[in-house]
Amino acid sequence: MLRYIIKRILLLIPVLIGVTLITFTLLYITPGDPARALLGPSANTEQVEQLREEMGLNDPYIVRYGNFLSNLVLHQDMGRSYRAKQPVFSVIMSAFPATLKLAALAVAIAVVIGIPLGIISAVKQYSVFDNVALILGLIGISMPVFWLGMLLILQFAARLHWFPSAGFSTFKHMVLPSIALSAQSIAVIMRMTRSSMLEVIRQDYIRTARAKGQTEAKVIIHHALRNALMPIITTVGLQFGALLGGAVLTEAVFSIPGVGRLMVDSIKMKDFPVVQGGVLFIAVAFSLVNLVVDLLYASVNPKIRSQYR
Amino acid sequence: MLQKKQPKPFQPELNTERWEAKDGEPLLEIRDLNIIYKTDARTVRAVNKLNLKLGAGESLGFVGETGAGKTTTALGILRLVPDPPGIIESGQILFEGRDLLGLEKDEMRQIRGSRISMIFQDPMTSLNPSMTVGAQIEEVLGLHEKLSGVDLCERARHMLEVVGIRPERFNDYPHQFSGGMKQRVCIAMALACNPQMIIADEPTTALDVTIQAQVLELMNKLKDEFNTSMLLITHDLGVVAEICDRVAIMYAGSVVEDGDTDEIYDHPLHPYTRGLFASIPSLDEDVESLHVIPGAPPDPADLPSGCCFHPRCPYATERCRKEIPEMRAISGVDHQLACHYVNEKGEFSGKEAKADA
Amino acid sequence: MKDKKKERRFMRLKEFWRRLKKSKMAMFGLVILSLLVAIAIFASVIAPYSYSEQHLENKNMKPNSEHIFGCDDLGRDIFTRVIYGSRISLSVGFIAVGIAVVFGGLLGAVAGYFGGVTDNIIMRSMDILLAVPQILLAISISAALGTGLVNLMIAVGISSIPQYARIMRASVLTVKDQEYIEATHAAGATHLHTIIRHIIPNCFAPIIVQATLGVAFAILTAAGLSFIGLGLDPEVPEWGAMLAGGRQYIRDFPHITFFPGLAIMITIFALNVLGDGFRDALDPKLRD
Repeated sequence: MLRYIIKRILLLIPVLIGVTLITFTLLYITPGDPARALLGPSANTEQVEQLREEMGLNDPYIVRYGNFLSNLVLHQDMGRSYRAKQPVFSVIMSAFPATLKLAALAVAIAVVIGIPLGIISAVKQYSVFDNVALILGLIGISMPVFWLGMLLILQFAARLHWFPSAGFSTFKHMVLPSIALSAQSIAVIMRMTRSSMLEVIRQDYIRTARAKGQTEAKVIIHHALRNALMPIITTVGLQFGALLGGAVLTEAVFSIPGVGRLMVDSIKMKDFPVVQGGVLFIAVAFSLVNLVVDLLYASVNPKIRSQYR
Repeated sequence: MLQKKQPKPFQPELNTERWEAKDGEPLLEIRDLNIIYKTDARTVRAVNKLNLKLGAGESLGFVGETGAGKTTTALGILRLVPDPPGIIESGQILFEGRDLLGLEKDEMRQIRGSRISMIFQDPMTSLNPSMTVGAQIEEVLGLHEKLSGVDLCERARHMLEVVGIRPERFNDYPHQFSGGMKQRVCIAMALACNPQMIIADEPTTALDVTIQAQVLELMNKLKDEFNTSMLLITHDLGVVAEICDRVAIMYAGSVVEDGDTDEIYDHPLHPYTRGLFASIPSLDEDVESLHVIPGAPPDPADLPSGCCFHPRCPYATERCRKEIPEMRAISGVDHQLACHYVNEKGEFSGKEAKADA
Repeated sequence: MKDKKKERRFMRLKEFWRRLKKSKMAMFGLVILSLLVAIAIFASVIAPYSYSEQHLENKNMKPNSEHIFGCDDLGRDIFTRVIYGSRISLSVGFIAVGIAVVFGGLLGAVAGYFGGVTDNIIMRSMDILLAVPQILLAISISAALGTGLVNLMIAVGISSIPQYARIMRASVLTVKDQEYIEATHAAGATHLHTIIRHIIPNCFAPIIVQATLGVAFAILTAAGLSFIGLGLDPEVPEWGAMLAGGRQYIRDFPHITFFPGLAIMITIFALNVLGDGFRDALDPKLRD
């Protein structure tokens, strides 16, 4: 198992380097002069040119990328925010916890609700429950998170005053955003669980378990779910990525001071190093989640487990 | 090759209870069993007024073409017919004197794996891929035997040894075994709780020819050792002759002829049975072309009237088309069949109607 | 022989249609989508008002008989804007997916067909793109390109490329080993010819399914980008932008955001059920 973990971590490195290349390149092709942006409109051309030279902006693409990468790896230096005049790293670090909390909470809700609903739907295929869940699921994946968020604000904040409509300081603040954000994932995970379970329930070994005299509940949980879990785990991992992305929209709706909102503001203010840093941060977080998912996957998949014993 | 090492006898705190038959009462008696698969479009009569008997300690070969309803009958005995679409419509399945169809779900579950266990056709897909084989054997023991953790493991290892698998492989997963080895694991699982009866559904068809003989030999040996009755579903008449005391021939969802294996093999009477025997290639004779029963098995959603075999029977008459033949016994021997033109002395009076029907 | 092939393809299409028709949900989605396309095409005929004309005296007017969806904060008729919005959303959705299918499909086909180093380089690049959540990728691309309808399509399109590359590659790999491909090689066909004539038609089914769901996703993403102000000018009647515009009035005038949101949801719903229907109709495992 250790060998597998090491292998997966080694495989992660080129992907992360690739992500830095993409984010760097996007910043590179973005119109506008960072030196000018840092100095402001009052600076004269000579000052700008001097700063350009200092920042290495006149170097060729490859050299600049090399510098960017080495600064990033050796000094965790992602440049400075034009707006906050602070290192990008610390700007993002102050916003990141809110985003992570929001996404993690949404994943938790989606898993806790989506998987059981999917199991019941599969076990009672074609029942009323199944049909209702199917339609609700379709509505769930069709609901734009920002619209659902606004509807929730309208009903539970503006009309009923149960929850606040903006901010992210207390648990009460997290309720509506995480519900809004998780709705789509609940639906996706439920649908995946249902189809994966249906596939497994038809298998011969399920019949074998019943022929052993196993109780129906254990047949479903021990035998069926365990084998249906692999695609479900993959889906949950992918959903976490979607949720990190969706968090950007959710943060906009609920005015949550997270990375997403920071990025949106920074785009509008043309503060591109922060945008770049935000993408990089979320991509790293997503990759780490995928790593965990892969390891989980391996731990339930005997073929991988025995291969790397 | 199996007897490299004699497995050590296991401390018998297991349930070794054997059912005592009263006055020749059979261990298993199926009476007028009807099982259908019902979908919106059509109703398939998979098992159609089936009657069958199996005595304690006996082994019965259950023979018929694909689609004759053999597997459905087996699943019906365990009440595992997939529902929907399968429905056990009517009939009785008397096992150890109790009607299985009248039992509560919990009572039925206690019988599965403990009193009756089943070996399935395809060992490749019959084992849970995410559990070790040891855990899968332990599971059935844990369900039915009062054994503590250590004894459970001990017994499971012993069962692996019994079927000729090194107990060190206890913690291996199914994908690490070959097909033949997997079927041995299935046999170990089926025998673990020392059942009164085993249903084996074509246990060797999915295996290589060379492995088939080994697995059959193993099953035959263990059946005697464990003093277990066996219902062996197969379409291989050779296997039946080798292993089974009795044989039942199934056609279109019901048994058309059954009895002592030797008797039936020596004197097959039902035209379908005779057709089956005639279609076996013989090693002794050099035959130009094999005999083939004309026509195809009937569509179970649309069974013929009267005797189901009449459309393919060379002796069919008006009576066969209209009247369903009753099962009747040949006097003096263990031999029953359902044909209008056989009397109780075992004389066949049918006449070939036309050369080409 | 060519006729026979055509006939077989036609038969397959008929079979596909027969199975699709059996799914009520899919037919429902198809009807709604057709309606939406018709609305988008004939927007100028259907819409009762101009989508940009402001009548401040109608500011935030609630739905009534003259303005059935009401008016927005600038007194523009919301019904009209929702109607025109279908034009923008559908064209963004279809064109973005078109871009993704063409480029992703090509990359996947090349990777699968040639294998080896080519395959490795292309697919590892796709892995890198997949490491960034799709909306985020679209956001950063559109940040780099700037706002505007075309840039929005490109941003959403590029961010969807990896999915199609993966599907296409997998399809190519399964088709590649089949005998008739070898036969065309023996007959002296070029690589390009083989890819275009033989492999692509056979990869059609999974791509169609993914593309249908992809259009839904593209519309959602585009609306999301507009919502956070990265898509289009507020002048343009885009559903996401309309939601953003009405956001501050949600407490008192929820009708401004309700109808555009509903329009997005219905569109996505139709595409999703249709995509599900396509998948079930094309899935050979479910063939009876």
